[in-house]
Amino acid sequence: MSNTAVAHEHHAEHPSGIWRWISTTNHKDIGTLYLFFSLLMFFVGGGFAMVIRAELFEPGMQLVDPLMFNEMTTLHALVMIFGAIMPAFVGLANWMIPMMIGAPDMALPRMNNWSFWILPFAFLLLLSTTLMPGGGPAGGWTMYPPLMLQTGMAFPFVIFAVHLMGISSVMGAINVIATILNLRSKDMPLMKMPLFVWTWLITAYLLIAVMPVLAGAVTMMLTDRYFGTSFFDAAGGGDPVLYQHVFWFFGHPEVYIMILPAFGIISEVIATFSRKPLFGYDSMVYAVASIAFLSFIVWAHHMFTVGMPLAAELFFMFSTMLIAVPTGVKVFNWLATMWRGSLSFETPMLFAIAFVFLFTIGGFSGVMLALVPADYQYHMTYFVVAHFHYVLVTGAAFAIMAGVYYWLPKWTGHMYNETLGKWHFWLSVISVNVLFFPMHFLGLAGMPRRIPDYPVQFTDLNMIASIGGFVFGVSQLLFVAVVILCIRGGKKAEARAWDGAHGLEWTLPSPPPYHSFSEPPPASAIWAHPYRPD
Amino acid sequence: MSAEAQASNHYYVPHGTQWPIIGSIGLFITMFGAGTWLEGMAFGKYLFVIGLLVVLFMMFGWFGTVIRESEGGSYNAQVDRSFRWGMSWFIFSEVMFFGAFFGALFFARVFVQPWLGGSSNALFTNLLVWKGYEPAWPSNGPANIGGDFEAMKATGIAALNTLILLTSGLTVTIAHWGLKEGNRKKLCWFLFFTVLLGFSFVILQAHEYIDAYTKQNLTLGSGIYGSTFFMLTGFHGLHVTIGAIMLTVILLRSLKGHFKPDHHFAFEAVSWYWHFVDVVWLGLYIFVYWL
Amino acid sequence: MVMNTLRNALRVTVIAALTLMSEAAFAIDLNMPVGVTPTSHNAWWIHMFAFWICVGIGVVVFGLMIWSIIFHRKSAGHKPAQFHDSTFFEVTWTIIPFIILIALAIPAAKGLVRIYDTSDPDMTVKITGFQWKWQYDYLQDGFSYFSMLAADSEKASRLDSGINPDSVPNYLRDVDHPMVVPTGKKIRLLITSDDVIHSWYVPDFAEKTDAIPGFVNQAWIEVEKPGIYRGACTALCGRWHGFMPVVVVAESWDDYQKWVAAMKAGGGAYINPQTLQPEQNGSPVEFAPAQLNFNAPTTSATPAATAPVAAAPQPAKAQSATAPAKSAWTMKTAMAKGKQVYDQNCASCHMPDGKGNPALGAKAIAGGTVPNGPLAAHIALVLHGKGIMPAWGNMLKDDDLAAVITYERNAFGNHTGDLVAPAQIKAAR
Ligand code: HEA
Ligand code: HEA
Ligand code: CUA
Ligand SMILES: [Cu+2]
Repeated sequence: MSNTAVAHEHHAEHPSGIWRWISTTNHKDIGTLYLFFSLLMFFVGGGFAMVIRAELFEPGMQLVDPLMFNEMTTLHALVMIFGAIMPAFVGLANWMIPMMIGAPDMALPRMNNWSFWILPFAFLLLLSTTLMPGGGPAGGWTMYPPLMLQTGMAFPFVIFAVHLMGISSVMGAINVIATILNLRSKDMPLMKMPLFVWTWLITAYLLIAVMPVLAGAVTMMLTDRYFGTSFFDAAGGGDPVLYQHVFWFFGHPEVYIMILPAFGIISEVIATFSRKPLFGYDSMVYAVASIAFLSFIVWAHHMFTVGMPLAAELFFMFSTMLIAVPTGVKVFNWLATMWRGSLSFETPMLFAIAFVFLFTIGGFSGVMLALVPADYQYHMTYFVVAHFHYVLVTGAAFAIMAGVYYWLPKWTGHMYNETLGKWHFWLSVISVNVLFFPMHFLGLAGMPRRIPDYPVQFTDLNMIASIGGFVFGVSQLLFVAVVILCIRGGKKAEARAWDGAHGLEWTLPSPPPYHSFSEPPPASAIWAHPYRPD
Repeated sequence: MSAEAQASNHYYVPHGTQWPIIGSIGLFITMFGAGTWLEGMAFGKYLFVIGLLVVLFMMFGWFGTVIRESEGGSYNAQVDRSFRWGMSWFIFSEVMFFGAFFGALFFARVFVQPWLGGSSNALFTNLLVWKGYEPAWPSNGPANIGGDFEAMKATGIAALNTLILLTSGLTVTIAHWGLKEGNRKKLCWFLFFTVLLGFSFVILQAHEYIDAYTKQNLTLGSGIYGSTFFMLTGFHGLHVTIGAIMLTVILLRSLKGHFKPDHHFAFEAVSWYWHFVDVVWLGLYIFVYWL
Repeated sequence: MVMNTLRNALRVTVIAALTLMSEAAFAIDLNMPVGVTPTSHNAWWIHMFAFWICVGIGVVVFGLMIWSIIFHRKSAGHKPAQFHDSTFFEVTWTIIPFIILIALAIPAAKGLVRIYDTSDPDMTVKITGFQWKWQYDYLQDGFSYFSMLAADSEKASRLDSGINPDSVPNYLRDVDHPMVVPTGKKIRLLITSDDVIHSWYVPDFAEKTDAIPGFVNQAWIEVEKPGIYRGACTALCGRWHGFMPVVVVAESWDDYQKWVAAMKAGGGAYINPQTLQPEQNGSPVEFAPAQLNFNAPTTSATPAATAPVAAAPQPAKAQSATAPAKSAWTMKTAMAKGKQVYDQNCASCHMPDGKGNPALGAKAIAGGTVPNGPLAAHIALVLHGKGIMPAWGNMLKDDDLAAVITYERNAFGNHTGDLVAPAQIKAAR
């Protein structure tokens, strides 16, 4: 790696006002844009979820038309996945990766700007469909044909929105890979990279591998509807299930795209607040790699009831179960990192610990889902909904919050308000379980997913879930408050904001200079790496 | 020269750019136009075209800036490496895109056909829904969607096109040698041949399509065979066209004396892309035309 | 409605506060049903086995974490150790989960193999999903019929119907014509769909198989004891996905035989929980399977009011089915019949007042271009559908279609005066 100092026309010149944000090529500005966009989308998607929970508060149709409800479900998922969780991780990557590997910026700054600025337009396109005749997409986020083909005018716009999201993520991922592989300080070999960087390297690979496949799937659906192809029509020799295979070939890696960076964040946070080097660094890296590999050969576990041949069912059951092994390794390593450490419980650590507990619960239900005979009972019931909200909300979303609390002092130069932070955590962690835990029981009792109304015997648990949902929703307003207050001011943060923190990002002042490392960091800074304190 | 020296040990970070936002707006207009057009609104196609023009404008502007910077010598070896990583991973994403369609073809041939014919655990699919349907390939399905058609042959145009693309792969490599030897004549001539071959491929394929529609009654609507055939070859043809246009640009730049024997990322990027298009075609020739 | 909401809310919070974990407090079991088929027993066993394994692992993992949270705190003055690797431990906790998983995989695989063995069944029923009803086709007995959400549930479930679901018996769990099967017999199910993907699910059978248009999936059930078993469609299939329940009545072989006989005789006679004991309407109708076969054609609701018969397998039957209707085919009868068919099938989208529903892209019937336009076009549209408009051709009999089209062309202020005859529909098919 050659020397990585920066050159550019006039040093401290950056335009001000809105144009600064539109034209910026700076990894911190763009990271900030991503993070605020994702926060906004979290509230939009959450708003949809609130409609869902309100309608499901009691039996009978009170608020929305059934079709409208399906729209809510579909958009809730699409917005949360592509608008909230993924951009949040890209935002964190933009902010932290250059700082963690001693780089001045991202490798392809202009493209970096573009990959962000496509997103607002993609969601403009997606959300505008709700106003169209026939309403927005209502086929679920999986958009299975033939149902999806019945969508009204919204149909092509949804598909093009998906294309745009795909383009954006692929460019973002390319940028991350190029940055990590090319701008890394020459004193930092791969096996000394912080885990967040490692997990993102592998996530980026997954993104580039599967987003185009999603684009392909929806494109086939587009031509089926407008150009007379018969990919998903048996009469013409196609098969509706073909779509499901292509979609889930994207879909399953996608769910790991949403959890691997989370693993990275949790590894950083737990090591820091245990004041102890991360346990089993190498096995952590290998675990992430094997999870990524396995994620390509398990997709049909979402399709156990479509009537696949027995051999396929068995193969996908076994391969799916295997994923528990590397994931277990990670959980146990986190445990061993905490073991005999010197733990303190600031908000990031609280979220990290909650992550380990609740993600593991979500993982357990995952393994249960993998057992085909039992999955015939679980499939398409609220048991599945419970599973993936444990891994997505208390998994991905909690990890993002842990990361934000962890790095806020670095970004803003101020410590956030710890009391408010703790309030946010406790309210969230309690309400989120009130929200999602009862869904396990609803599922086992046979309540299907994606229904706007239900038999009366499901009332009690749905009410409990809804109440939990509203509390969880409102609690998130605290999060916004903490962030804004922290930007506005607060106790000055030192370069090394947390006494247990290691890694290059903490060798920079808080807030860091416009160009993270105008001069390459000293080798010594790297050898003081958390995972190898030699 | 001083720029050179300064570039050699500095990572170039541009400041501010208007092109991405223009590109995003362009894409938005294009896709909104396409959507309204597909939904049968007349103004859609105009929006679509306007959007494309905006995107085109963005590309000219953006690439123009980059070329100026490159020729101005503000890119050092490391910047060059970033570009290379970027291009290779972009091509990988393209491979995966084609993978989706090859996968569909594979699934339809290897699994769906036998199932419609009642094999494996799909016996009743045949007995109750598609009685008497015999699995076959090429196939437009048990309902004979789009009517009988004549499938594509591996001989004739397809074979000729294979020859053309393979040769063009060779010529572009020779052009590259020319560039490395600093032999501009060789560079330009062989680039020229490559462009020529590229466009003749496109023309021949257009001819093939016209025959398919007019003589063979083979259309996008000819069931799964027509779907997979036209989507695969169509997307490939689109890539060949784009590649040929990029080659043309590279040719013009070479004529203007751009590129140095040791510093010509743009040229290599395009030649990589061309080789990728080449390889995809081989896949197509084997799985779509031949087997 | 509001009072009701508050009352429920209060009840729930109390319950939740008191005993979140005690099953007694809830209207439902908190666990997977053991069910009444070999498959469901197997599913339950695997579920519990996996559950307890997870609990076990959970106790260890969470226990250790809590331990270090309590005892390895900085505030408790604990000094950090510096170890960061241990091949022994890392290998151990790779191997052990692997072994556990094998223990899980073996019974699961065995169970799955049994589920996939649909060979030599005692009888076969073909189940076809429609938007939004099921069709049960008793292949060897040569009759078939539709099964859709019971009328009272349907009414109560309309947006702001004002009807309290608690007052509706088996809200969203009753159908007009349940599927009927014999106990103790291996029944092969052939499951497919006519439009989009549906999924046929009965928890007590642990039987859930997707209904995929153009393909026929196989499954089997063997019900151990008589009873009424309720499930639902579990694949998102559009607007009324949440409103197409599955109800299966299992009865002894003899009772089943009697039912089959009645079905063949009546041609359109069904067990109908709602009409079985009319005086009991409004209260949950639970009835002994024995009563089922007393349900002669007379007690069953008039065919048109309930879901109509599908064009029966043999053309001969199709004739007989439409014959009586043809004899007295006047504007009056057609309009009356048409209204019933309309309210049953069309009103949900085109609205009871025929004003249509723009949000759904459902055109208005009142003053609509098609109902007031050329008759042929109208018939074609209803028969073959278009976009979200279903193709009713394969769901309704000729006379129902004739009636409803007549109705649409002469109700809601339309008066084309056209009286459509079933024959015209037959011709247009
Ligand atoms: C972040 C997202 C995420 C993650 C990480 C996971 C993780 C896993 N998921 Fe999940 N899943 C989803 C998101 C996710 N899932 C979503 C969104 C859906 C629904 C999609 C839709 O239909 O809309 C879904 C659905 C889904 C299904 C389909 C259910 C159905 O529709 O019928 C299945 C079935 O196999 C499954 C399995 C698993 C498994 C085995 C894991 C494993 O990776 C879990 C591994 C983790 C652990 C096991 C815990 C820690 C391990 C130990 C402590 C070691 C010891 C443990 C054992 C030996 C058991 N998931
Ligand atoms: C990746 C992320 C993700 C996240 C973060 C969430 C978050 C939430 N999800 Fe969702 N969800 C999915 C992914 C996600 N979900 C997916 C993939 C599906 C499947 C869709 C399908 O079937 O196709 C799904 C489906 C799904 C369902 C099933 C719908 C159905 O089957 O019909 C439900 C039902 O309760 C639900 C609820 C919630 C709730 C209450 C939250 C909460 O955590 C949200 C909390 C956040 C907020 C509420 C934001 C704050 C907003 C405000 C403060 C303003 C308004 C507040 C109030 C009025 C109180 N989700
Ligand atoms: Cu039929 Cu859902
Ligand atoms: Cu999965």
